[in-house]
Amino acid sequence: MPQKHPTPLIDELEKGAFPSFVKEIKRAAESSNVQDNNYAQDLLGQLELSYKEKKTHWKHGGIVGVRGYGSGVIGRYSDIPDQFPGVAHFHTIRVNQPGGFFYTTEALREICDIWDKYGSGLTNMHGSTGDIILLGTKTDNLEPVFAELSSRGWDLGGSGSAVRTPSCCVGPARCEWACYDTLELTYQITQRFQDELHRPMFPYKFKFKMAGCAVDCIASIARADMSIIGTWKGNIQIDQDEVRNYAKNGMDIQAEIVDMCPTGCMSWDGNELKINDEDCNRCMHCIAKMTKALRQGEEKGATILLGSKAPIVTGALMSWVIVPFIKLEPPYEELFDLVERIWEFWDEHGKNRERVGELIERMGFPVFLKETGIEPHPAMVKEPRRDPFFFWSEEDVEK
Amino acid sequence: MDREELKKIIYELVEKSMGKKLYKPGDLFKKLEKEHGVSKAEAKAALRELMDAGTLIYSYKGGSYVEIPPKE
Repeated sequence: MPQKHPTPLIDELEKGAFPSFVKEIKRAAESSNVQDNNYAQDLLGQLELSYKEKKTHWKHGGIVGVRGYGSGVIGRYSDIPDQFPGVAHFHTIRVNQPGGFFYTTEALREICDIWDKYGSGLTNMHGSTGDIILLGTKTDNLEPVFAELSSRGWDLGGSGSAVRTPSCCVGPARCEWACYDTLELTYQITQRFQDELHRPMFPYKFKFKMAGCAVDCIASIARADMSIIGTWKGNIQIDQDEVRNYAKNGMDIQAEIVDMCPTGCMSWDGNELKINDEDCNRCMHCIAKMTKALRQGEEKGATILLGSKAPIVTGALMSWVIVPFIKLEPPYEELFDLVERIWEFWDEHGKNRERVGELIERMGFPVFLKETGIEPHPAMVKEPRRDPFFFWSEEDVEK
Repeated sequence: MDREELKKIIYELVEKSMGKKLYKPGDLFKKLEKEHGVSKAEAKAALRELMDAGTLIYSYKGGSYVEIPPKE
């Protein structure tokens, strides 16, 4: 099908060095695999108009979904449907991705074939939360596409005030640094909290992200309400011969390793690398730089942190340590119990659209610890000059 | 409380608030606990049945709410 709408402005976006979404929309508009090319055709037209007028023509939200689920479908409508009927409805479907983002080519073809049949043929692989994002379909197609996805073992992901689709790094499947099985935990959390994933019941969204170590390939510390990051107890294991090999092969160990250590817990005399493990904060920098020479300690588990989010209401937050070390092994009941206590606290006190981290900031960390029954620990000190456990009363200040 | 009776109470709460207030599921659970002594688990199960039957639906308006499906 030839292009319906001229697009001189967005054509410019095809000329850069990077892959262009405009090019992909044009491919979908012309593809004979896509059953209804009008989605992509009119998407190009509406996008061009938005660039010309410098304003969006999308409306979000409303009442769309599949029966029984309150999550997984994000309603989107054009505010000029008469002009662009192909995108009068342009709903997004979130599909729960496999842990670690591992696919067979067969699975990818299956998803794409389903989407060519019921939607625009356009996808985001993956959205920022991790889901497979299928972009653009009409309300009448939601139940059929859900039925077809379900019949092949796929399920919808989270959206709205619900648990969002848990996601994780590749974990032990491909990485020797994984301190726990991120894939298994992600699967178990997904299964355990199906109700909370599909049926929004919280003040706002709640994200789990599982990272196998502090390198944090899934960026959990910056964007998950609950970040579960692998760590270890005990000393970093050092192979001094390999350290010397790195030095011999040109690595400046003083500059690249010792001086880069955030806690200054290392020293190098030209022959031997020493680590004061008591001061190590397990950031993984040295281990990631000298993979042959250094290994994590032998007792492995995870640190649980709470409260990060990308900015919406009160600005960006990083996660806060609430459990310094936990052995993470099936059946994970200790973790699930903790999660449920945190949700109770959030449910009781949280305002509409208030993330759990914002609630803790508003009510104070001591209240959070008391109500959730979590024992205070020095590792919870987020900023060294701000003691979260101690507050001066007005009387104390006057004295 | 009998499940059917609980479902009726939830539906009526949502119906009476139409045009005045939107209930989040959590708000409904708290109200049912306070006014009828219904546990959260019971309320969740009843709401789920109403959703599965299509008697009530979820909507998204800057947060997730419970509503009666529009008549078309």
